[in-house]
Amino acid sequence: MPDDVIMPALGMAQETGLLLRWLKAPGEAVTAGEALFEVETDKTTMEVEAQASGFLSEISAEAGQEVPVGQTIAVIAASQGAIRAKMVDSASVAPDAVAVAVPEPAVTPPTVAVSPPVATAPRNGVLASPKARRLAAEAGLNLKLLIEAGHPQPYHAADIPRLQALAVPAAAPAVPAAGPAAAAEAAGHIAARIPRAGMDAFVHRMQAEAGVTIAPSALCAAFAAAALREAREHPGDLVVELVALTGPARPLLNPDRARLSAQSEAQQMPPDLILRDLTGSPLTALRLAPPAVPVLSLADDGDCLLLTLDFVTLMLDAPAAIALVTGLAARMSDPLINLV
Amino acid sequence: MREITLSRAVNEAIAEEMRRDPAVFVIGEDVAEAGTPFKVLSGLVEEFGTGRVIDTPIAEPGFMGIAVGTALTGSRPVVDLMFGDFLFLVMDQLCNQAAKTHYMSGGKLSVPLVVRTNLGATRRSAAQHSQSLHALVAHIPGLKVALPSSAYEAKGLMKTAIRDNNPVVIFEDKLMYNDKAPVPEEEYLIPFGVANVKRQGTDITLIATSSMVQVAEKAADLLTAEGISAEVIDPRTIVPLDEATILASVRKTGRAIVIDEGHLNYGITAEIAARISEKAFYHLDGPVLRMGAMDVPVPFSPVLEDLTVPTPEGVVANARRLMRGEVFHAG
Repeated sequence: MPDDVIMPALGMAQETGLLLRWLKAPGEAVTAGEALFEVETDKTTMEVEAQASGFLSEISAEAGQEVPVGQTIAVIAASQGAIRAKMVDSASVAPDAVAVAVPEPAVTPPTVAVSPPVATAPRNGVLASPKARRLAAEAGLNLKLLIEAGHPQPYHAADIPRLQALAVPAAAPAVPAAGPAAAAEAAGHIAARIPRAGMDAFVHRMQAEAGVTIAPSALCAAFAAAALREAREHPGDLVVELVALTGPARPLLNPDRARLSAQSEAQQMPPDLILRDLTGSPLTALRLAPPAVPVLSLADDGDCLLLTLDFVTLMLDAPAAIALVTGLAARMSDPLINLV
Repeated sequence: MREITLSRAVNEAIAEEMRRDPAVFVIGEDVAEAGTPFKVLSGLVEEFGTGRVIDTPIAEPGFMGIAVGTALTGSRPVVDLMFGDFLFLVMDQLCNQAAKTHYMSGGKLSVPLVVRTNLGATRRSAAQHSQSLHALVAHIPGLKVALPSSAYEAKGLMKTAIRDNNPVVIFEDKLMYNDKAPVPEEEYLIPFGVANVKRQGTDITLIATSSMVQVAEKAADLLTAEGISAEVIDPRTIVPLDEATILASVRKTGRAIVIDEGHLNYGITAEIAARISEKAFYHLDGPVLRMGAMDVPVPFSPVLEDLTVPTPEGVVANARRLMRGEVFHAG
């Protein structure tokens, strides 16, 4: 037989009690003597104990409700199978009340951390960090493109390159092997000439004073990574693939963050930038089909070094490309000041 | 460079200022022969006499009032408040009298006093002797608040405080008295309102006060091993606060965590976080996180007490979440 839980009379002249809160959840196991709910009278707040053991069921009063003394507000069912839910506003209990799914008696508290982040947009907006919004606005892009493409919110600065990649096909035909007109629209070419005196002096000094031989291409790879990181505000790993005319390609991992003499090779990570070293050869430029990854070529040009960047706006937008080449040229023209 | 304890550094600062200016004197409980229970002021009464190193009865409101009065009439007291928790006893003298007299007298009167007190838990001193109450006095216009994070800061900030014509409250971390740091032999002062960038970084800014600077540095070391470059900033004084340095850093990194040993609710971290949100909003790639002492009276149980303060591991966990973009408020 289930036991009725009633609003008790806690004072002489008390006619109602304010149910402050339930201390047990619907369906939870209850032991006789355990605190079951809190009641506030005009004098004090008191905990009311369960009078029987079983499972809390058929709760008909909710927290914050004023309940007349003596009214039944719940029932302690003898077994889990007998637990029923009761509508708060129903006057009487229907004998064939529908049994509701029983919540597990042992409930783990909800955790806050979620991985990967999943969220629904507030009303009609997009969940994005202020920085991401600013970068998108500066590039004239709509963050909603990311939602439509199915990328989970919220968005951060690191998602902007992805947004740029989504925005480009809208402007040009979406076919990858497009005609020259489309390729010209999407492809970019930037060249810079840097006097090589600063770099030569630095390499010479390193050899003379420290006995360390530094290849200009290795220095360029480190500076290119630093400049690319700055241009893209990129917080993660960067891979610069160093390619010479002969010999295997060397994928360098974060060359700007390691010592020049102790570069680490990236294992099976796609490159963010390819550095083609043409120094020592008569070639000054080598432009093949529009590259999937930005290609930086380093070539000799008399008493200067020639830097050329070939890129597609899919991977690197024009402002970032300009920033990359400018930043790299500045560093290459005076390595000593720029090496931290 | 020689290394001395924070205790020794404070002693040197006060002794040097007392030699330099006869108006400076020390007043408080057990400051003379005992040299304070932490032994920081040992030797002062031998050099300067009981006229300038004054032991008082256990009467905080009384001797704070005396200090305010002497400061108004030409002296420069250094008031020793044995535990930061006793601030509650001197609030009227400090916040209603010392803090406001210069303003209310139209600039005619000054109160050049220094309150030297402490903060910090995990010393098993229980709830009424372990509080970090710097937020209370930082809130009062007219008071300056300094938080040295090492012996070097302690000496430089104390000298600046004594020479400042405004009332200054300096909080030393009671766990750091025996910690050594390089301190120059030559005289130096640390100006108020100038933060110290303890290490440069590019991914996240950690702003920490007092002993939390060491916590932030340890966290930064752990983060470097994970490829995250953290910048660590010690504001040194929270009033005045070096906003420019903090904001420049956050504009660079886009992410910030503020760590303080006061209670989390309504504390220092909230103020700094709010200023960052206001003034570097469009550079933030994630919310500014705050870490402080748990909002409970400091427990006496050692196990529980240690749970209530920020730790390097806690900072690292928060930094990881920020880097991965996992801090958000769903729906």
